[in-house]
Amino acid sequence: EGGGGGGMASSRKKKKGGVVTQKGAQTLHAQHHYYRVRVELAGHTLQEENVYQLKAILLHAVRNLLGEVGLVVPIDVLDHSGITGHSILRIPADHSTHIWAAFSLLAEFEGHPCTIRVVKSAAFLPGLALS
Amino acid sequence: GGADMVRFKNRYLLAEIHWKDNLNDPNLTGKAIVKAIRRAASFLLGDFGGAILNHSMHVKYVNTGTNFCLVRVSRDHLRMAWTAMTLVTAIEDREMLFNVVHVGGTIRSCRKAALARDRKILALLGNAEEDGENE
Repeated sequence: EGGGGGGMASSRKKKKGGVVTQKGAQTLHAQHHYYRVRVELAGHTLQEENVYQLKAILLHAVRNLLGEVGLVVPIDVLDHSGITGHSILRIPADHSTHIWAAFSLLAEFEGHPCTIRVVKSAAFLPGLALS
Repeated sequence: GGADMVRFKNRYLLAEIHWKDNLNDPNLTGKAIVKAIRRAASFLLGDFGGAILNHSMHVKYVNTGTNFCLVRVSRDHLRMAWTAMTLVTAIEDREMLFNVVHVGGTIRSCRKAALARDRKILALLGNAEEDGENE
C-alpha cells in the first residue's frame, strides 16, 4: 500500500530528513522522476535511430534556461519510439521541475520551431503506463 | 501592521582583482566589472540565472588603486553571483581573476575586513623593511 496513510487514527509523525515515519510505515521519496515526452520539430520527424538529435534538443532547452550549470543534471533517454514519437526520460527528482520548465520554454532548435511536451510524469517507471 | 514590510537582505562580496598583465588601470569602472560578471552569469546560469543577477546584482564600489571591488547581491542569490564571479576571466578584454576575500551583510563589515587585510599586508612589509635595514 502507498505510504503515508492518512486514515490512521494514531498519527505520530516524525519527519527525519524527508522521511516520514509513522509507527513503522515509511514513505521514501523517489530518487528519479520519469517523464513521457513528445518532441516536435517542425518539418522533421525524429527517426527512431536518431536519438542523438533528440538528446541534443533536450540539452539545448536546458542550456538556454539553466546555462552550463544546468547541464550537470543527467537526463537519461530510456526509450524512444519513432512510431508514436514518444520518449521516456529519467531525471533526478531534485531537479525535475527545473528541467520540465526548461522543456516548456523551448521555442526553436537550429532555426526550426520546436516544442517539447511532457505527456506524462510519474515517480516510478510503471506509473507511466497508468491512464 | 508589519505584513507588507519585507526586509531586503543583501550580501556584499569584497573581491580583489588580479590582473594578468599586472598593470593598473585608473579608468576601471564598476559598469565594466558588472558587465563582465553578468556575461559570465548568462553563460553559466542561462536565461534564468542571468536575468536574476541582472536584476539583483550591482557593483557598489571600485578602488582602482588597490584593485578591490564591492559587489552587492541579494542574499538568496549569493552563491549564483559568487559562482559567476569565480569564472570571470576578462574585463574589457584584459585577462584577470577575481579573488573573493570577504562576504558580509553590511558595507561596514566589508570595510573592516578590507582594513584588517591591509593592516596584515603592511605588517608583513614592515618586517621586511626592518630585516633590510640590519645590513
